[in-house]
Amino acid sequence: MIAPKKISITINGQVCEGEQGQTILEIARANNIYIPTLCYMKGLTPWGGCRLCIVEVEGNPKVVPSCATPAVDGTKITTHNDRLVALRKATLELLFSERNHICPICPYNKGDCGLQHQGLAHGITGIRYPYLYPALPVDVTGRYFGIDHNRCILCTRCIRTCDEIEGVHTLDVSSRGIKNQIVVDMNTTFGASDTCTQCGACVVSCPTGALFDKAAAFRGQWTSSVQILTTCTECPVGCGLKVHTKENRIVNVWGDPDSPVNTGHLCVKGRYQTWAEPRDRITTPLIKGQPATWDEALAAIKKAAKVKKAEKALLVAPRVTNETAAAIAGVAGKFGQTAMFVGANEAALCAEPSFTGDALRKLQDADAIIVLGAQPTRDNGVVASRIRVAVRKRGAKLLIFHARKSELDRHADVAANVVSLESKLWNKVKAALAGAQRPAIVYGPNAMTPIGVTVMERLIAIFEANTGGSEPLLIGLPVSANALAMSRAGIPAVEEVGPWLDAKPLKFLHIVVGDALDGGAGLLEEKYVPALLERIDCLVVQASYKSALTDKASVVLPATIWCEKTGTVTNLEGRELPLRPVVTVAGEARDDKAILESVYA
Amino acid sequence: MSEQKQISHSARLATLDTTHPSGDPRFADLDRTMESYNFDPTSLIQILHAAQQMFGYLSADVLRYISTSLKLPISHVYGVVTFYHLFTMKPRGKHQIMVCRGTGCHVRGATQVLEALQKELGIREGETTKDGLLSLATARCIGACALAPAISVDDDVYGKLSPDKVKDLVKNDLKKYV
Ligand code: SF4
Ligand code: SF4
Ligand code: SF4
Ligand code: FES
Ligand code: FES
Repeated sequence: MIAPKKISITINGQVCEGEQGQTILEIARANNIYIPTLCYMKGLTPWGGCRLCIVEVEGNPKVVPSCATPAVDGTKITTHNDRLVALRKATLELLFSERNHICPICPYNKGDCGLQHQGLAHGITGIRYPYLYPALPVDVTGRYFGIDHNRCILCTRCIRTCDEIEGVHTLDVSSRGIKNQIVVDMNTTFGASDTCTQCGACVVSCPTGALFDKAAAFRGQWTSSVQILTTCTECPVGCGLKVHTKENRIVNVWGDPDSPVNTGHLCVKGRYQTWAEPRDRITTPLIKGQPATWDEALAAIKKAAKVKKAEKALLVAPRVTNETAAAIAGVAGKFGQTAMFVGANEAALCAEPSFTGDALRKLQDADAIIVLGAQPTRDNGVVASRIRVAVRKRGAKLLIFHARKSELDRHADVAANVVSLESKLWNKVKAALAGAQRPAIVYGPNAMTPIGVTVMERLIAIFEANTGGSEPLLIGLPVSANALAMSRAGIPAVEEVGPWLDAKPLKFLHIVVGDALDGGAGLLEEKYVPALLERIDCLVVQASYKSALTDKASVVLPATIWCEKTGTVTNLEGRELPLRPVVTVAGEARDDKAILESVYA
Repeated sequence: MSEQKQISHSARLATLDTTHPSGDPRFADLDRTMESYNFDPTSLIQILHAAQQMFGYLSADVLRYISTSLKLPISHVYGVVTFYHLFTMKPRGKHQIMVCRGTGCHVRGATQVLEALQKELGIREGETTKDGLLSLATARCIGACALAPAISVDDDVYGKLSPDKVKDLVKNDLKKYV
């Protein structure tokens, strides 16, 4: 790789170093020189549409947008003078007059609204142009966010974010001139869109109140919110979160831009589903469904646990913290059997990763991606967006072998149902993979089925025959959030709980569901499990949310949820990631580890 | 529905392979057109143009089909279609009346001409007469500035118009299209 040529430009008399290819704005920012911007957003292709970032380049009578103009070695730049400021003011006034920008009644007065901020910074107190105020629609059909077109300045940041970061391109601009408007798909609503993944990235990118999180609307400036960094525990990707709270309530969840895992991006689960959905939280211990004190609950459990060791079992959801995993390993000796319950065919995926470090970053640079028996859109949204971006933006080939159709199929070169593998298909596969330099195979639980294994073997054979190409990066994608840490702690995985329960005559069963969003109800979907649970004398369920499972329990112990926890989790790359409490603990809930230790240690 | 009925059974059988579920042979034509452009997304405008000629207008169904075939986001296709006046998503009449709203015509009374036409035809800009014969649209400069204010009906140009002349036009000249 050739290092880019160093260049130097003079900005406002100050000599600034930069690299060939950088824009004037990038060099200015790197040298702490301020130039106002609205449509520019770091990480997106510059658009050059708002004209706020204009600068003068010596020798050029025209002003140029610094965000979209590459710096030329030796040039002299002026960022502020009377002419530039007057032009910026005029631009801002035109923006203010074009639609409704009456800030006090904006649904989402973010406080750092780009337009409001620039208006104030430029001392704009009145507008000399007539207000146009077309009556534009407001779309609040989205589950978690809405768009008020009256506040939109058509900066296209949302469009570029949706296209370049989430990789779906749900949004675009329709019509032209004064009729320009952001459209969802073919002019539908967010609620009716069949391409929007509800990842919410566009909302974060919007510099005005046009796109707004419903939970934050009319709740004051977000700059006044408390912002805490923590980690998403909904899947093994482990995205960094920046959680905004007000009065001890979450108002927005943003991605942590400094996280090496997700670099600021999130999927709908991490951004919204963990908190913006109504759920029945358990806040006190329950004995036979009736509220009880911790002392009463612990006493009841200790009494019931006075049976033979072989008659006791501990079953854990693979989503508890690393610390809890260690505590489980510590108390496992008191039980006849201890296990974590994982999804069908998932056990083999919970072991040590087959790659070293940085797999998710490498995935973005792959030139051929195979998705085998995994559902990244549903299970690991950020992985799905990385795949889409590699395919749509960098021309990577995409081959999907699945048992179920998914949204990713429409981006694929080959999308095949794993149960019908014809030889015609394999020729296509070979053609698509020919010459792949940086191939990656992302495989999920269904890759562990006999047919999945066959497909994997054939793929590997193709790569081995592919002279000149390199070995594929193998990324196993479990569904369970912290299964790797659990298996490192030596806790075995069970895919079928029924036979496991049936193996020994059990009298006492403690299930740690933790903050699983379904409250553990998923366990009851397995055949025979409800009946087998009926046979147990004492069922203890440690969970955060009420469910059909907690209803069956003799004793329910209230557990804390992700945003109340302290500790660490391990992601699929083996990174240890921190959990920090964002809000105070609800009611009498306690940390999973503390609960286990107070009962069994 | 009525469109589909017109397609005879034999036409259906003659249909080339098309992935469109309707079996409408025009989709096979569209397939061939897209193939001739190598399914290249940068040829979107040419493909839309061809599709509009085949179908008369660009229905949501046609746009979705093109978007899937070219692997282009549907919002992008929609954005392009609504950007160009040339494209229409509504069925058009048999004949197209285009009122020029270019600068030349504008200063010479294009607005009055448009109003008069709307009144005489009983439709608004962008609409089609009930009998499905005439559609009314506006355009930027149709290249007949010397005849401003001007309109075109299909490929014919009528110039130096006034509201009175429009009345006359609708009563007499337009009959030949009907
Ligand atoms: S929520 Fe995500 S997918 Fe939906 S429009 Fe916004 S960026 Fe695109
Ligand atoms: S909705 Fe927001 S981000 Fe999108 S164009 Fe409008 S102002 Fe910009
Ligand atoms: S990809 Fe996984 S870790 Fe990231 S936000 Fe989504 S659920 Fe959370
Ligand atoms: S920030 Fe450069 S034109 Fe908008
Ligand atoms: S302005 Fe109407 S023809 Fe040119």
